[in-house]
Amino acid sequence: MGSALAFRVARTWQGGAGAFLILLGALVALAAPALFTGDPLDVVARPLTRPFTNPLVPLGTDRLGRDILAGLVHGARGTLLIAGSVAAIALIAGAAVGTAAGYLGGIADEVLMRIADATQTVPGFVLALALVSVAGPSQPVIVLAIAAGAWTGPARVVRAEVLSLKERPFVEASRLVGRRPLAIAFQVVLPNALTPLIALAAVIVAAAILSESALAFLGLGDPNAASWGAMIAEGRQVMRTAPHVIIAPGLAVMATVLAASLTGDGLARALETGSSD
Amino acid sequence: MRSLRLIAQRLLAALPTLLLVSLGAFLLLESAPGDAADAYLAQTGGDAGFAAELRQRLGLEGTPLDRLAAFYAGLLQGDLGTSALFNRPVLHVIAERLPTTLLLMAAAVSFTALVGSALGLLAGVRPGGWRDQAITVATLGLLAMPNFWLALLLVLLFGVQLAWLPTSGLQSLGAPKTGLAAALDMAWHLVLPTLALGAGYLALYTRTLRAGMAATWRADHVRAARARGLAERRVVWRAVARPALLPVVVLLGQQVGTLFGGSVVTETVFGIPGLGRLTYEAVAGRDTLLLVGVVMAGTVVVILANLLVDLLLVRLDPRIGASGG
Repeated sequence: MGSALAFRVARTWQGGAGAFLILLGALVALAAPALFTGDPLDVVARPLTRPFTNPLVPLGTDRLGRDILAGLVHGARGTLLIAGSVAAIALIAGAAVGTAAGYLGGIADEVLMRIADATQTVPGFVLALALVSVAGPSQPVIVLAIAAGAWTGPARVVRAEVLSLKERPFVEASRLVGRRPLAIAFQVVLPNALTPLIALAAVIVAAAILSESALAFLGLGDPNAASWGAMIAEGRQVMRTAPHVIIAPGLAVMATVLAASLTGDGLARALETGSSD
Repeated sequence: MRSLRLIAQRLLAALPTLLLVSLGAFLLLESAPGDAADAYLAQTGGDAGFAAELRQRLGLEGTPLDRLAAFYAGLLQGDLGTSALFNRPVLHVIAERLPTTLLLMAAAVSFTALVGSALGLLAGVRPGGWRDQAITVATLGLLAMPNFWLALLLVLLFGVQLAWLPTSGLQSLGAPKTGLAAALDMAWHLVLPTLALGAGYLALYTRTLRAGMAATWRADHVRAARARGLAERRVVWRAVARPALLPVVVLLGQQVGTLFGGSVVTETVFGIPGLGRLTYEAVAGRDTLLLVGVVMAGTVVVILANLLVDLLLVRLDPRIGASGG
């Protein structure tokens, strides 16, 4: 099913463009240490060099003379790593909670769903801000803080799917064979609920990129890693005379988020039209 | 009264949420390095004896269970503790800043509802047409823009290049403090923050309305309306746009939390003294009690806003009763 779906996604223009941009970003992120061997936080040229004036620093330099292109390329690593990890954790945790709630029912369902309600009510960005502020800004903390507000969507999707699958004959059959409820839940029901989750993953990635960059903009990014949000915050003081220092990293965020949402759109369309298999 | 019953029901349903969120707030306070007494002492200084006295007064002694009891005892009396940063009760500081943020959020919602409805209608009148395509691409772009970056671009364009609009604060220096002139001055200062905060929201709103209309065009009642020979304009308004409004109103409720979160960066960029800016100040000043207070205040805002949306939905769609959903 995987390769057929990938093919259908790539055939929609949204999916094709999105997947192309994401692959490009991932490639750049992976190749970052080879493309720019030095530390992106090193000073390499005259401060505030304009873009397209010095071939050594094609996108110019920031207030301290750091290479903006190197910052962008290295920033892609952090951003994609964080957003990907957030999506993975949110999906796994949400799927686990949703499966348990839908399958066990009763009080367990009630308790888990009330927790999901409460989580959804707290403004997600403020929650992430509070968690990072208390636990200190490092990449794992940032991932967990953003994921803390992102698992409820997957949990609800999986729970609904489980509830509709629960009474189907093949699930009934595994119960009659004597398999334990949780084993059935995770081995039989969950794989069937995966399809809608894939489209949700793209939405979570897009939101996570925006949250991460906003956290970094407010000074809650990992101080040891190059980050687009931090580059924009840094450039704020000089943007009136040198707008290029904030425009380049902003466009990078925008392109990445756009890539994720286009891929999500493509996925949703592919799933809509190809529900026959 | 149906509305009264709905209000009672929703408030009752919000109780477990409030309980869980306050429990989370307590855990956050417990896991923070240092407690409220440390934060206070950092501002005032004092010896170990004073610290012990302070801990006793603030209910920070004993086991975590004792502290939990003291936390809820305070909460029930509306006491969220004292902000170390402002040396005043957290609740007072929040109450002082809240109206500004509510005003900004209301402005963003109104802007969204006005412009979003227009754009959504324009796109949804002919799904697939060139207007629809252009609006779809533009809204995708808006959704992908980080709101703090959009805020900075607006400052650069309208504040610096064109110098049309103020980019900081809520009042001009020497502006009148009361009356119509003061209100106009404030509205003038709110233009850019409203655009920055509302842009992503506007894009979602437009897309939702457009998608709803595109789906409704295929519905039977629309074909029936056309078959009856209704004028095209009336078909658009009566049969297509009105049913598409419901999901848009639902969206309003769902996105209140996002809007509240967005106010943090918006108010920080534009120097607006509201709750969002206060959140940033609490983070920068390591004032955990204040931060936790803001998180709870934000939760209450979301709950009340959703109650408002529910009441609005009942008005719009009589099928939604107090007993349902």
